Amino acid sequence: MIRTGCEREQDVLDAIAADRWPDRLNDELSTHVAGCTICRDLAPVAHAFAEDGQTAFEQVRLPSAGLVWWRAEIRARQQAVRAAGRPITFVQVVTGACGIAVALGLLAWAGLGALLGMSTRELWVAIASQPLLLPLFYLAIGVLILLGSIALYLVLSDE
Amino acid sequence: MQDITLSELEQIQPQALDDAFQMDQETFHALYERTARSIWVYLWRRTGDSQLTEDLLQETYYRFLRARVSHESEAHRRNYLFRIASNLANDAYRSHHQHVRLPEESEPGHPAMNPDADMQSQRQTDLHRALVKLSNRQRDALWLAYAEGSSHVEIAERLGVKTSSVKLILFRARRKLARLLRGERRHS
Repeated sequence: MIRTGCEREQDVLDAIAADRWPDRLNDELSTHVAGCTICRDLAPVAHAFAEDGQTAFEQVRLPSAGLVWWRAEIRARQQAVRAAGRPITFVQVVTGACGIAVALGLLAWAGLGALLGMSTRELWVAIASQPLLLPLFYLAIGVLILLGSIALYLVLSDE
Repeated sequence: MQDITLSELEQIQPQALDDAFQMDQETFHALYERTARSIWVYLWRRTGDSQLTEDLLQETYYRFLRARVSHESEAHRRNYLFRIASNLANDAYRSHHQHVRLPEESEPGHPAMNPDADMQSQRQTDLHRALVKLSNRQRDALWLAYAEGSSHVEIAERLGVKTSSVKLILFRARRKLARLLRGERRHS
């Protein structure tokens, strides 16, 4: 079984923290490190990181807590405005889509009546009397509403 | 993206923001003073870019403030912050497809800028070169253990791994890095 730790690791770390590694290590610990595969790897690695950490901490350029809070606050406000605006946009899209669907439906209705030479009342009686035509009629209205919604969404959406 | 005017922003009630953040400003300031230096250094070591570090630091605290998480202790809060920072650093790494950039020798604060510290500078350059060959998790574990002095429990929480795995992660990372450092020193 591979040994992954040594009971003297903390002694080595303490020596590094006390700046006794590598030159001022006591003989006993020095001998142990030389003979222990775990501590032989640990010592140079921990020492390198301790030095590197010290250097890194010296050059920290932190923004102030007030600035970080202020930026977070602005962003939270922006998100709140967007969240508040979302239901209004949804209602606008649905209302607009219904309006477009009605307008297109009336145009199609009038166009179809003119094409077949029928009045609007005669046309409705003709459609209603055919069991297959009525579902198709409702389907056409649904498609119009859907297409109108997509068109409005594309026009209003700016993202 | 929709433009938002200042007047629209002002219409948002302060109470709404109190609800949006998990703590008040005073508590945040105290927490920031206790934690921000470590997180800045951690992010800087991961990205090697001061501007990106500041952006990620801001994002870390923003996500922390917006998170609806109850923290049992100060340690838990710190670990949670580190988890956010670590995930953001990973995302930044993936999105930029960049390798960890070695800090330039002309950068302020680089060890090479201190002429009295030639040996230390050389050791740190060797370390940075070798670290590129380690995985993010190995680098993080070594940094937390030996630069931050974190315990295995803290490292496990910050990296999102089991405490029992930390010993093995550290062992493998140390062994690999020690070999790389010995190789670097032979070359230099």
